[in-house]
Amino acid sequence: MRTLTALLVAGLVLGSSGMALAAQTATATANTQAVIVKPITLERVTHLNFGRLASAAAETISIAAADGARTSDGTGVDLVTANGAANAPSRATFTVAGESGLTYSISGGTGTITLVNGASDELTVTLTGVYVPSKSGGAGIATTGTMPEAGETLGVGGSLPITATTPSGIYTNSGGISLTVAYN
Amino acid sequence: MNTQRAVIIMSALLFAGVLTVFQAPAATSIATVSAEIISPTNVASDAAAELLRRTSSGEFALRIPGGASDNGVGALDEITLSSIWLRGSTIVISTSDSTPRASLVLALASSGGGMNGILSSGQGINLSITHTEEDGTGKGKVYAIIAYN
Repeated sequence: MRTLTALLVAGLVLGSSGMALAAQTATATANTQAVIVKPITLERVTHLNFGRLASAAAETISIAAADGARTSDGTGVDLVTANGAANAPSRATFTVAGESGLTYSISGGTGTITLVNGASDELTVTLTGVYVPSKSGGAGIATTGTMPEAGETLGVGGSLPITATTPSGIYTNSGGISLTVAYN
Repeated sequence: MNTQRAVIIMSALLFAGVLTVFQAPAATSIATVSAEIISPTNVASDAAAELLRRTSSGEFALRIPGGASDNGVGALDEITLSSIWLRGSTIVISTSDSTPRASLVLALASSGGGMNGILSSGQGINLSITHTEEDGTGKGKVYAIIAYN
């Protein structure tokens, strides 16, 4: 009898112990999610080139950011058209690509850049900012865009004042136009 | 307890993982900037009085007649051409003469022969005239006489 009683007590103890362990177990569920987006990429296509100019007057030559058209605010400077491939005027263009529908920010493409020829003569180019086809409200100069499915082409133009006495030469700069894009 | 802690840790790791995906690295690219400035004219004495000579498609070099006086109106040297070029079918000429004149007459003739007459005249230092290449090849020479009226 004593033996039976002892077994019953032991069983109750073990049973209650098992109930206590069960009461200390908690279960929670968390959803897992990962959103993978295409990395944003930026590739330069063309450089900003004012082409060949015959200085004969104080004028400002402009390269349009939207289409690369070259214009002058006067008639005294010859916008030489027989440039050859190396001197064809062009805007700077960059192709940006990434996840469709995401907005992205653009930095760079503004301010001034100093061009220098072989004789250390200097010219100053004022950049237009970045032409963004996907600009909110319509294409134009902007610092943000919304990524189209096929990516898009960003453009940077500039204006270059010259005078009748601007020394001849090929003017370049060492730094260039640095453009950076990143998802917002 | 351990289970709850594990869930919390896993959630934190997953959250951090999601953030990492969104924080994709920025992309940067660089374009150069350049321009070529050339002298507007190649000024040189030319006994043949050749004023314009096509040097390549769309370009003309300038020759100023040396001491020529065949304009019959005024000394040719009174005016110095500072630049002359072809833009489309229009020749644009600038002179160094900044003094307003009653009129400044410019006449052009092709190398093919007779004068084309006075194509344009005006006051000031800039004249714009329409030029048609006589031989149609784009290689004909063009002569000019500049004089004050």
